[in-house]
Amino acid sequence: MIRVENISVRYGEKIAVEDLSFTFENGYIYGIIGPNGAGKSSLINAMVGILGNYSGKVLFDQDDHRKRSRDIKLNLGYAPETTELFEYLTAREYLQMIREIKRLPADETEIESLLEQLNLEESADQIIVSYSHGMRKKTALAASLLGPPRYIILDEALNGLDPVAMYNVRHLLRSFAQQGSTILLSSHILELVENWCDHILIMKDGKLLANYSQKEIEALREETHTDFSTHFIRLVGDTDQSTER
Amino acid sequence: MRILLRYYGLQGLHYWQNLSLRFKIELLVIAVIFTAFFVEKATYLFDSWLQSRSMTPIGLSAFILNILLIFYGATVPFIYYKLLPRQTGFHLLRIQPLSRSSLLVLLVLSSIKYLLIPLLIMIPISIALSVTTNPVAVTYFLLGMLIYPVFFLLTIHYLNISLTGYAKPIAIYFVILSVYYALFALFYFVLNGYLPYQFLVTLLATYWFYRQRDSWDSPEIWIETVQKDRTNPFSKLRYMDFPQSMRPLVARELLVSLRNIRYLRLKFISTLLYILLLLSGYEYYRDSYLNFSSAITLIFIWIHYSYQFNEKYVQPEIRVFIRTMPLKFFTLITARIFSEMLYIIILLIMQSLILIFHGISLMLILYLTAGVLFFATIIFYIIAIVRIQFYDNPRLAGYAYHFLVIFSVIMIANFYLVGPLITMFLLIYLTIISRRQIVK
Repeated sequence: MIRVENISVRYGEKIAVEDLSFTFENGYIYGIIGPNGAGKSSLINAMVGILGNYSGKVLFDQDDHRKRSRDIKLNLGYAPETTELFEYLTAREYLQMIREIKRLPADETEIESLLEQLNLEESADQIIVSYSHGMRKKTALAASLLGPPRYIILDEALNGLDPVAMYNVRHLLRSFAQQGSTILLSSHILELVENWCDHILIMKDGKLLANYSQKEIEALREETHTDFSTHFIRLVGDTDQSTER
Repeated sequence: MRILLRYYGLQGLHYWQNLSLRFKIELLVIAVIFTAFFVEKATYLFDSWLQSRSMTPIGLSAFILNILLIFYGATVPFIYYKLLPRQTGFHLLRIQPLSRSSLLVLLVLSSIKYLLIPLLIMIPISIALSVTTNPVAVTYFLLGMLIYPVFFLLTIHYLNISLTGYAKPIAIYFVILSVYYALFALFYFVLNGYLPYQFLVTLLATYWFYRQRDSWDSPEIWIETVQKDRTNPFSKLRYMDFPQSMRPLVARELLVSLRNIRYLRLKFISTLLYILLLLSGYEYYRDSYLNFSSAITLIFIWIHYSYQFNEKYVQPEIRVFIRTMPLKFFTLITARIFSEMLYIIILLIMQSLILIFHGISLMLILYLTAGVLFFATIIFYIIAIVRIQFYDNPRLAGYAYHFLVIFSVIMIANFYLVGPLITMFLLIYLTIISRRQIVK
């Protein structure tokens, strides 16, 4: 379980996340969606410890991130939107290194299985400097799934993946959730969040506008006779108008 | 042109606005300390020159101006061919439909940031000149420092668009520079006509650049730096070949360095140069060979360390790796020290062998090697913590490190008790904040 309590993130005068509280339960996949600048990445950066200057608390199974960060990091898998990796390591070496840093028990098959599911086997022994953007994304994603970790946080990490890899990652994430992992992913792709996640959180201007479970989305569809994307656009647009007013 | 000026002006303004108040105050305090230090030293030096060498205020101003211009002149081709093409802002703007004058303004504005160091030196020097000389001499100095760097830049630009390749333009540029300085020396030391000479050069150059304005349509012939994949002798070395005790961090550090062909090439050339210098120096410094070899070793260690701040040879740390991986601060520092010390150990072994060959006593060599190794480890520790503090920007880490070193040297040299204490405090403070980057 991950709990954020009264999280606020500011960049100078700009408020990126404002007094946000939420609990991400074990065994579920949560999706965060919202327009650019909604505060998704800021929230995630505060949760994983990339941002230090935030107010509020981030609890991972009762452990405060600020107090027991090492224990939390051992159980955290995080993949960001950016694709910075160690240029002169191969994907296989990179994954092996992450396994050893996280002190995961020896398992020869895990890396091979991840490489296979992400279509990276053929290039796994080439140095990363020669990789395309998509291959780098896959390597970073594979590193975040090693373990598998108890908490998986993916910040726009699925954008740009090929369809086969997407299909495999979806099944992997579902199986990790069934094993008890807490999974949170943010994306701009509404269909991805809608189809993959058990709960959808809509953010705008640093605030949580709504939180829907799959059942609630289904009910919403039947009630309004529109798809979820129409509802999302209406919701985000309505806030725009009310803000203007 | 207004858009360009606004773009460049706003960049600096935004950078300043995004700095925290603490950082702004720290920068201002450092700037005041440095300026005060240099003003004091320069005032003393200029005073003594004015009295002992019986220089006139204008003569002093001309002398200082032209000494500093040598630095400008020598660095301009490097800025033009190497640094400008790498600037993102420059690339974004030069493909826009800009007028001829705007293109020239873009060229000058994009180069200014690289000339900031001499510009920073200009401030204390002009203050010192205003204390020791008169307003005319100061104005002369300031005008020269503002006009001549632009002349240098326009000269290399004109040569670049007139000739093919870059060897010819650079060679002709240095010939022009040499002729200018040879004539300046003649007019300054022999004919005492340096003022009319400089005035004439300025007029002629302005006229020439104005006449050539039609040929400067597009600054597009920059030489791009292309990264190529190359194999090297260590390309077959694998992560899993390293023993368990060296994994994961030492193995990572070593692989990242050993697979970088530029790093290897540099180490190979510098090792050859080191051996050559040590062997050839014996003929000239037979009596003080131990001092000579120690000085050469320390210089090479310094050069080896300086590449820690160059992104061609080291990769910036990855934010996600530093902030979200369960790393231990001292394990990371130790891994880095270990991997970088290997080259220093190689240098010291070579030095020891050469010293043994020249008949220096073993005990003396042992003391020397231990001393150098200890000193090198301490210095590298400082570099390692500064690099963790600025983990995603080695260049910024380099500025911080050199500021720290210069500041410490100034403090220790001027305040024998407080200086070392402040340096110690700074190191402890830096260790704490660097550790926080990882364990927070």
